[in-house]
Amino acid sequence: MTYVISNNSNIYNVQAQKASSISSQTGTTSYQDLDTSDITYTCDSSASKVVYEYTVNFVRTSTFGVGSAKLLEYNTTTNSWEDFSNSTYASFGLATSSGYSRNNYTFKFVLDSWTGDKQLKMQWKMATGGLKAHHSDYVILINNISNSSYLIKPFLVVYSIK
Amino acid sequence: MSHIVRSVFLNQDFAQTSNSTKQDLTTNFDVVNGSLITYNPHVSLGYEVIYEYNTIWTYKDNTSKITFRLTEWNEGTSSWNVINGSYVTLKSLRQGTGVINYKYIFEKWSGSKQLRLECKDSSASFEGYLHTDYYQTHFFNPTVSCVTI
Repeated sequence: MTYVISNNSNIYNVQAQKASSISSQTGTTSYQDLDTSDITYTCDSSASKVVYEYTVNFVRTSTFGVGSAKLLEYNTTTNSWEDFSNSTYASFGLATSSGYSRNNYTFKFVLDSWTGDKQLKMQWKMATGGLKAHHSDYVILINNISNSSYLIKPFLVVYSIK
Repeated sequence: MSHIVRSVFLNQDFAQTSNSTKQDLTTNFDVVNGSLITYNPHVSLGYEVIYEYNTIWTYKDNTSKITFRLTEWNEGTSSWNVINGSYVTLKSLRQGTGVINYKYIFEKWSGSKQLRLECKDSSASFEGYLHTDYYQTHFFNPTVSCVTI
């Protein structure tokens, strides 16, 4: 889906995507893709910056957990994914016992613009303890029943700034 | 599917600061690296201005308690004034780490205004670091922005 924004704004070429169906992703010590974070974004010559903004929920699978997330870009020369930079990492959670980590995070990266297409995505892994993505701890539904397996769909917004 | 919409986000200004180190906070308010911005709201459109600052943080002590406040430059007194209602405290037990998305909304003003964020540890035993992650090997480039809405 594409949104074209005009009228005195220097924000434009907004692209947004949300998971249509989702499963929880249990963290491991190896990096894995974050659902719905993968996008091919076309940037034009009038852009000065590109903002990549991904929102996701994590919940504990043990009494504590810290995850590490990073932004990657696809290198079309080597046909492989590479870390975007050393400054596009983030961590989240609580590292010691009884730190019952669960939270919703928005990872916002402001990137220098480019010309043409670039494919971007995020990956995450466990730094310590246990977490799973897209899962809530538990929620109270509108009928007042608690649900401990409630899934929260992640979403991504990417836009350019002139 | 495509949509054409009338934007309510006007004159967005961004500043990003390259970082090669963490910011070790103290118990006195210090300027948050990369939080300074000079902003001119859109002259004819919009009613409010949103200030936004993004970075990451991690623990130094097992418990971190970090207080933020937004300040504006006062030309008359040549000093930084604290903005009412801008205090936010982050508290985390058990070696916490995470992202910081600080936002504050103003009524729109005329002309130029300088804004910056300040923060401190609440005590010497509740300390934290800014702009670095759990491993303290990656350093985030914080961004500050203002936009008229």
